[in-house]
Amino acid sequence: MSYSLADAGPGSVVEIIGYEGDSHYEFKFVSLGILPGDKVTIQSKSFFGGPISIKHGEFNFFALRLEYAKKILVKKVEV
Amino acid sequence: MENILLVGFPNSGKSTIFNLLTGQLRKVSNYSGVTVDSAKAALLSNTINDKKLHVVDLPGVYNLIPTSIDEGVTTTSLLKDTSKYHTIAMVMDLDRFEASLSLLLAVKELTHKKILAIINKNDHDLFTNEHVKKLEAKIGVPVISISALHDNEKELDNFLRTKSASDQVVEASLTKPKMKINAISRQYVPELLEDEHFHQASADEIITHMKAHQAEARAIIKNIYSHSTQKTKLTERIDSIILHKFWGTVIFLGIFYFIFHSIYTWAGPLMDMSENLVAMLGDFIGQYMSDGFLKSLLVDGVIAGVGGVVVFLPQIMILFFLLSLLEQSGYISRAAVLTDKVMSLFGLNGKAFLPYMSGFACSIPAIMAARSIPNHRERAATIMTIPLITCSARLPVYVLLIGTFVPRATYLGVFNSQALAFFFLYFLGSFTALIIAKIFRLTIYKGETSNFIIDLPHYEKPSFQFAVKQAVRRGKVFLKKAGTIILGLSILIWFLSTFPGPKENLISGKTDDQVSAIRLENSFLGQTGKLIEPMIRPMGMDWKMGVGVLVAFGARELFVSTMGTVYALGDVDEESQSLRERLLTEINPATGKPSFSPAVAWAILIFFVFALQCISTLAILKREMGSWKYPFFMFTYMGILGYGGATLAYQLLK
Repeated sequence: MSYSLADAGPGSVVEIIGYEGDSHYEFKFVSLGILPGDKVTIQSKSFFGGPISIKHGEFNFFALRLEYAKKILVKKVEV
Repeated sequence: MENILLVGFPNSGKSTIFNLLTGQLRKVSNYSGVTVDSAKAALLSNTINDKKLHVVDLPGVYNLIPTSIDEGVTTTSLLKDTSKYHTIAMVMDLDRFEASLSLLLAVKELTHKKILAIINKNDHDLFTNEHVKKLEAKIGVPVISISALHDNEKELDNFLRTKSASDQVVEASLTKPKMKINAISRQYVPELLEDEHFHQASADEIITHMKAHQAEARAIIKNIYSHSTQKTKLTERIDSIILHKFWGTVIFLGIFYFIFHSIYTWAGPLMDMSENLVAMLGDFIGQYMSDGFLKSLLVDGVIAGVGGVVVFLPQIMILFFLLSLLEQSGYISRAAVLTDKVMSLFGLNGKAFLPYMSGFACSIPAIMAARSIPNHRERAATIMTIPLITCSARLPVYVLLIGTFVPRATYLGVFNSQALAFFFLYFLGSFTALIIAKIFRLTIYKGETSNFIIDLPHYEKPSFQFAVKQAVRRGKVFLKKAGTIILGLSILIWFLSTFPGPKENLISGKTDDQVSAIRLENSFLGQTGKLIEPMIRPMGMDWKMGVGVLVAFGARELFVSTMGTVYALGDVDEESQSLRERLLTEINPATGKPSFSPAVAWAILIFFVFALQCISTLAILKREMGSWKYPFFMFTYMGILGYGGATLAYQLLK
């Protein structure tokens, strides 16, 4: 069972290891600079499966719908 | 004539820049020839310059490998018919700086055309001239940093004029680089040719290529620009509350209640004031003119009609003042995150929430607020359903009819019957709006959401001065554009309700109120009311109500005063006892039964919930969407809903 960004809880730090699903999602993530090896902190998750807000790298903040977050495979990082 | 292509991420501000450079009254033509958004227009400054420049607003892309027809248009425009354009202006988003730069590098690799970089969203002057110089040196491309929000179009215009290519590069002598494309994406660029424009590649090859650009972009930016760690920490801290599952929702509701409340209450006195001013102006001019059609045209037609529009001005300005503060601070994107899930159920995204909320006050600022939705189809689905939300202009009609025909009763000790009726009408409007939006998103405005990623900019202190400027600007736009159309339609309504005048013998010896009633009955509008009586019969309405409904197509609240005129009661409002009694006692001469019944009242109410009776909305819709097609379609579908709903209500209740 693979572990995706959507599974990570608020406050946890994860590292991107790859992507799942159609290649055009992968194109989008890579184009947006969401690359394997990048560290991501989960800021918060919304009610009822709303978007997940994350801090990417040192100073980028953004939110992703859960359905897209599920396509980003991650592993936990010890901090 | 030289064309400059605007290329950039979705939501990077390309369209805002396009509008800045070409003006609000632009003549837009379709660059790609395909029915997606690829607008082309002349620069405003062409009138005072010899060099005639045109800018082309292409669909936003994250990369050059298309995953939809829209994105394909951008790739095709860059590679095919390269003689059609001279310069590519890359619109870069400071909030997604590295990724934007990576797109620039990809484009640069692909073409010999002159490239310019416009760094947008520098709203707080974080990207300084020093940064600009360093970046120029690194990438060998002229750079300008701007804030499309703050409107420095002269500087940008000058940048494009001086830095765009002066001559067409002779391409024949250069080897044309080809782009890599995978088999699936091939279908979105049917006009491009293998061998000439691209060669097939696997998805993995393309990804490797993209990653190389990303790495290069990161390396470039690392030495040039970063956010302060202090601000990053602050943003993290604020977001831990603002985006918190529970507290975030509470704060969100608080903020939106405040906005809603201020539109209602602060605008109230201002609206009354502008209404009074308009009335005073009418009286003042009336004094100096002899009675006659010219006076009537000026006072009842022009001043009353245009005055009816000016009344919305305070609401619009207050809303945009508050929204500007929220937008500058960075909160709006957070609100979009919090509401995204709910709106996604109806095929929309979180950015649609705010326009819908504003719709409870008035559709006009709400439709204008929908500009923040970048995707054309999502925006259209939102805008086209906003007027179903119960706006404040429907209230007088609701108050009159519910107050008169819904008997006061209390259910279960707490529920007041009249309040329940109000709630039902509000709910019916809102729910229908969302359902119709969903239907639109599944049919005519189909497509994936534009909110693939919601950028959360760092929090910044908003500028009050700038917010005031924004409010004034929106107010001006509204007055200028909506005003002209409304002036025309007001004169038309005046004409139809005044001519042809009644015969002398009909009005001799009658009171003024009776004369007004007779005049209305004999006018084109009155005659039309009688003419359409068979058509409105299924809704339980007679010609008098028909006239009220017809006049209300100018503005809904006119229904109440028109009923006053029809029944020769003079000036009335929705609380007037005389009007309420008259409605209850009015007898239909054909049947000898009361004209109004609860069934008729509900039919009228349902009609008002659905039907689009507001000239101002139609005018602003034409302005925002740029075509009469939208007002026409909205008017038709809402009219069908209104007629169908009212007929159903009457037939079930009678």
